[in-house]
This record gives sequence, C-alpha cells and structure tokens, in this order.
Amino acid sequence: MKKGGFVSILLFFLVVEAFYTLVGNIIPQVESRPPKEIRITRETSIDDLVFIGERIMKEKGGCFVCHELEPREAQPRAPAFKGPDPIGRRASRRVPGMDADHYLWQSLVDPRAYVVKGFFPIMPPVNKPPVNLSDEEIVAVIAFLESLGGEVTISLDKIPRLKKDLEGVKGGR
Amino acid sequence: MTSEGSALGYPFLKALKGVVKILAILAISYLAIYLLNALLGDGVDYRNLPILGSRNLIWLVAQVHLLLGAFLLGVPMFAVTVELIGWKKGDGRFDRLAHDFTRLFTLTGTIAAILGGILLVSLFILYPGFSGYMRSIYSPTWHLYIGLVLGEVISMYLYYYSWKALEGRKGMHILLGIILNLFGIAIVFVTDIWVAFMMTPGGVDEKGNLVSMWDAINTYAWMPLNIHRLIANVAFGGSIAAAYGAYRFLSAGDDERRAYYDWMGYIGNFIAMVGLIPLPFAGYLLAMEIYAFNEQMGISMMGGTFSWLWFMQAVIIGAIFLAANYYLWTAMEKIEGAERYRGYRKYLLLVIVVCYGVWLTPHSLVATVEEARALGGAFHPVLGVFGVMAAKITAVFFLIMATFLSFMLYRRSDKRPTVSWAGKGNLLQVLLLILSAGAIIFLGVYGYFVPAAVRIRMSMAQVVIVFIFMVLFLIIEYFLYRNAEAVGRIRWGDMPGRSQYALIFLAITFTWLMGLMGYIRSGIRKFWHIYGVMPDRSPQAYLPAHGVSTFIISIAILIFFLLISLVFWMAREGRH
Ligand code: HEC
Repeated sequence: MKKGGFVSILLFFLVVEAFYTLVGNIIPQVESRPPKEIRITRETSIDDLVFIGERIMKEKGGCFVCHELEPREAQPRAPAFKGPDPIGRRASRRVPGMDADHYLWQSLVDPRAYVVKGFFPIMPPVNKPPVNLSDEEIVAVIAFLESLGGEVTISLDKIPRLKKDLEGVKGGR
Repeated sequence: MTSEGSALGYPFLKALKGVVKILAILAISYLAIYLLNALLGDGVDYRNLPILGSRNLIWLVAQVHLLLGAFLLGVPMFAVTVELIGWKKGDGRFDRLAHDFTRLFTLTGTIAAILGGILLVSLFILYPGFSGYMRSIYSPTWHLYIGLVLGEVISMYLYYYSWKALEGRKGMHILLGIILNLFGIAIVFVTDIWVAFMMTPGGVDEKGNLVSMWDAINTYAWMPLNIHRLIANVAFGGSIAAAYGAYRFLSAGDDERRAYYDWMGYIGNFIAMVGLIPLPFAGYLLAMEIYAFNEQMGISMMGGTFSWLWFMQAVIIGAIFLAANYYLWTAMEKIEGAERYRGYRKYLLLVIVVCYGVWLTPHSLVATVEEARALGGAFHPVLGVFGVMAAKITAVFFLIMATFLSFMLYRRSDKRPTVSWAGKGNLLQVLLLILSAGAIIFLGVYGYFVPAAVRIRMSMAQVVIVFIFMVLFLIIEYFLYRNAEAVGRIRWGDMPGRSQYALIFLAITFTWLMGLMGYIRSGIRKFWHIYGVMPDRSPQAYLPAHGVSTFIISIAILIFFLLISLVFWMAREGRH
C-alpha cells in the first residue's frame, strides 16, 4: 500500500468519519417523535383532564420552551405558572370582567389581546399551526392551569359559550 | 474529452450536447414518475420504501445531490477567481490551476443531474401528497429553475471548451466564467425558495392556498439562506480543491508535480479560509430570521433537541481552525526566512487551544427543553441565544484573529520590508493587535455584567472591531511590504505528508459540517413537511436519535466523496 495512495486516504477518511459518528453516538441520545393524540370526551374526569392538559403542554403544546412551572429565572422569557401567585388564582384578576375560563381561553387563542406587563408578545396562538390544539385540548390545558392554585371550572360544555363570548378573538399572527 | 478545439463552433456543439443530456435525464425522470404512478396506483399521499425507509432515501439522495450541486457552484467561483488572478499577475500557474478544475465540470454536472433525477422521482413516488402540493405552488419557479440549469450547462461547456480558443482574449473568457457564476448563483436562489418555504412558509393562507407568489418566494429564511449558502460554497469549493491538490501531491512522482500540487493545496486552502471566516455571521443572520418567524422554532432550534448537535458543531469548527493553522505552520517550514517567525507559533497554538476549550465548554447544553428550563439561566426572548454565547463568541473572534495572524506570518516569511518606516509600521500593527484584543476581551467580560439586550450589542461591537483590525492591519501590511526584498524562496513541494493530510481532513470535516448543519436546518421543522402548513403523516415523521442521524450523514458524505473521487480519476491529466 503506497503512502498517500488512494487506499490510505480512504482509510484516513473512514477514520475521520468514524470519529464524528462516534461523537454523535456518545452524546445523549434524543429522539423527537410527533405527539400522540389523546382522546378527550365528556366522560373524561376532571382529574384526567388536568393530567392530560399537563401532558399536552409538555409535548404537543411545547409551552415549556418559553414558560416554566416554578419561577426560577431572573429574566424569564414568559411568566411562570406556579409561584406565590399561581396562574389558577391570578387568571380571574387579569382583565376586569373576565373570569379564569374566559381569560385563559383568550390568552391561548389570542395571546396579543392581553400582554402581561414586562413581557414581549412572542407567544404563538395555540389553536393555529404549528401548535394547532383542538378545542378539547385547549380545555384540558385550561383545566391544568386552573388546577394550579385555583378551582377547575372549565368543561367541554362551555366551549360554545366561550367561543361566542370571545367572538372578536380570532388568534392568528 | 479535449479542449484543444480552436474553432469557436466546437464549444457550441459541446454545449448542445450538454443540453441534450440534461433534457434526456429530465425526460427519463418524468417518464419514470408517470410509469411508476401508473404501476403503483394513484391517489395516495405516501408510499413506503421497504428496509431503508422513504425518508432516509430522500435524505441521502438530497444530501449527495446538494453536495454535488454545491461543488458545481463553488468550483466555478474558485476557477474564475483563480483565472482572473493569473491574468492580472501574468502567472501561468494560475491559468493551469483554473483549467485543471474546469475539467471536472462536465462529469460532475452529469452525475449531479442524474442524482437530481433520482431525487425528483423519489419525491414524487414516495411523497406524492407533499410533492404535488409543492408543484401546485411552485410550477413557475420550477420552470425557471430548468431554464437556469440549461443556462448553467451551456455557459459551463462554453467556458470549458473555449479555453484554448479564447487564449488571446482572456477578458472575454473571464466574462463567460462570470456569466456561468451568475447562473450558478441564480440556481441557489431558486432552490432556496423551496427549502426556505418549508421552514418558514409565507404567502399561503391557513389551508395552504397560495395567496401571494412573491410572499411565498420571499420568506423569512430565504435571503439569509442564500447568503449563507453562497459563502459556504466558496469555502467548500476551496477545501475540495485543496484536498485534491493534497491527494495529487501525495501520489506525485516527480518534484515538478509535487511543487505544483503543493501550491494548488495552498491556494485552495486560502480560498476556503476566506470563505470560512464570514460564515458564522451569515449563520447568525439566519438564526435571527428564524426567531423572527417563530420564536418557538428558534428557541427549540438552539436549546431543545438539537443542543447537543450544536456541541458537535463546536467540536468540528474548532478542529477546522486547528487544522488550518497547523497547515500554515508546517508550510512555514519550507520557506527560507521563516525562522524569524517560527517562535510565535507556540503562542498562537496556546491562544487557539484555550479558545477551543472555551468554545467547547457547554454553556446551555442540555438534552431536552425541560432540562433547559430546570437549569434556568438569564434569557432574553429574542436575543437570549446570543447572550448565552457571549464567552463563546469572544473565543471565536480570537480563533479568527489567531488564524489571520498565522496567515500573515506565513505571508511575510520570505520577505523583508524595505521602507524606511518599517520598524514603526510593525509597531503600529502590534499596537493595533493589542488594542483590538484588549477591547474584545473587555467587551466579552463586561458582557457578563449587563442585561442580555445590551450584551448583543457587545458582540456586534466585537464583530466590528475584528473587522476593522483586519482591514487596518492589511492596509499597513500592503504598504509595508510593497517593495519588499526576498530573503529566501518558497521551496514548493518540500512539504511533509502530514500537512497534506491536514488539507484532506479539512475537506472531509467541512463537508461533514455541511451535512450536520443541513440536518439541523431541515430538522427544526420536526414533524412538518411545511412548518405549520402541512404535517408529515408518514411513519417516519420523527427525528431519529443523534447516533442514527450522524451515521446517515456519514454515509451521505462517503457516497459524495466516492463520486467525486471517480470524477477526479476520470478527469485526471493525460486521459481523454
Ligand atoms: C414562544 C414563547 C411561548 C410559548 C411557546 C408559549 N407561551 Fe404562553 N406566554 C408567552 C409570553 C411571553 C407570555 C406573556 C406575554 C403575553 O401575555 O402574551 C405568555 C403568556 C401566557 C399566559 C398568560 C399568563 C398570565 O400570567 O396571565 C398563559 C396562560 C400562557 N402563556 C399559556 C401558554 C400555553 C398553555 C402554552 C403552550 C400551549 C404557551 N403559553 C406557549 C410565551 C410563550
């Protein structure tokens, strides 16, 4: 085998590639799968709704890209949901005349309608792609948020009512 | 194949042949799509390819096609630049170098076109729903693309085959080369329309109906992607040219050839470095636009699934700087007079190793978004990514400056200035270096104590300082060494084999980096064909584990290099 011939260069090539592939295999392995659809019906209990809501926020919603549960950061990107004044409690006080159900529904489908002080309007509407939550999924998310320091008042039955009351709220970028 | 034909009719005949070839490949692809569709039955959105999987096939074919395409666009830029330098300098070596690479065009073009055909057929057969939608929107740009490819082929053949005939009219020939490059650039711009649309779509309504063609073309990612790819192509073309020089150097039988190929490697590497240095800035521009399009996409690109791949990117970029400097330092061995500067190498090495360390140190490195949340850290919504990287950016600026200095030392090695103010000029350059390095460190450290929004301005200031430093340094250098006397000569060809392996390493690594970055760029769409517009409902709508992705990237790069070796082998001297 000639030094510097094709074969030794090929070997060198394979060693370099093997090294990069090895590094690729040593680093923590993450696989990203599309979120599973979870069925939500009128029979789904409140506890299950809360549980499903949290899961949606972690997976399909991707909410924790920006939000956190416990306030930890000095300059958070988005408000934390727990803490001294958790979202379940503060939701009903945000906008005069709006209860928690209405406020949260609005925050999710038209985040720019009310922008929390000290933050930028960067949140995408969750009923639009790419997040694209269904009405039922939004209910589950609201149930989880309300369960944080508040009382879960949302239910699937309220969907038509909420949509009608928030007629002007369209969402979209 | 020969370019000896001196009549101008000959190149046109060749160009016609090229056009026929492309049209034939296109016709065969259309026919294949038609026949396969008839055979497999219409009306589905997906067809699965057994064993390999549809997605992996597309991944491999698209990656190899893109690399060949990048080579086809990068090498003409390289060739015309070199030809122009040769013409201005009256140095025949440059002309030979340019011509040597032009020889590779026609065959590479054919292979790239065949792969393009395979890609087209695979897309329409395996992903009919998606491909049909893209066609419904982008037919006009597709036809434009075909036209541009034909223009590219014609000007490519004319450029290559008229080399001898236009020997006496160099300006004319270079003009042809520039036209060739304009076609190449236009092709990048058109193909980027489609890719950018898939990442950051625009111009369509919620149901995906076309509302505005121009908005669907001018999407968020389009321009930054164009800029990024153009610059990267220069670096890519140069690095492949250098690797080829290295290979020929290593297998050269006589000193004359060794000298020539040593020089070829040097020029290729030089052009690669010129392309590499502005690349990070183009990268940040692209990232900014992605953030502007969708915050969630930007954040999960930098901090989520991909954070460990950014770590790999850091490993690779550091290795590139290290190898490039190593090459320059060994190259100084062959320059008589370089003894004067060899002592500096250890300090440069120290700077590079320390910076590499900083650059590698994980800052916001976590496997999942939840982990990132759990760790916390000061983020600013839009600029957070830059803030977190303050120390790293400082390190990169030092890597760039150290490489720049290595190159300057190399340039000076065989010369001594004759101007009366040589001492003062040199001192001025040293002062400039100390001042800029000090300012960059100061800004980098200070950046830790200010809010992220201010910090971003710090790194912008650092960019400006590095830039001004290099420009002023070069201006002084130019006047300082204008009428310099030679103190020795460069013994071209007198290079150790390891230096050539450094060049080969650079080419492999640079190509691998393109594969990795391309994967991230494409992967941020996650389970969407077109982000937010068309979901991927195929069984392979997921991002594989990093180990699997890096393996697929390695396979694609291997296929590319085997094909390119074939081209080099077919086009080697003395073969017709
Ligand atoms: C791109 C970052 C981002 C993502 C992703 C995001 N949000 Fe937000 N969100 C914000 C910001 C910033 C605010 C505060 C500004 C505002 O009101 O728009 C906010 C506000 C809110 C509020 C109101 C908080 C309050 O204190 O009144 C709720 C509720 C909320 N988000 C829920 C969600 C849910 C549920 C998801 C996931 C489906 C989500 N967000 C995803 C950035 C984000």
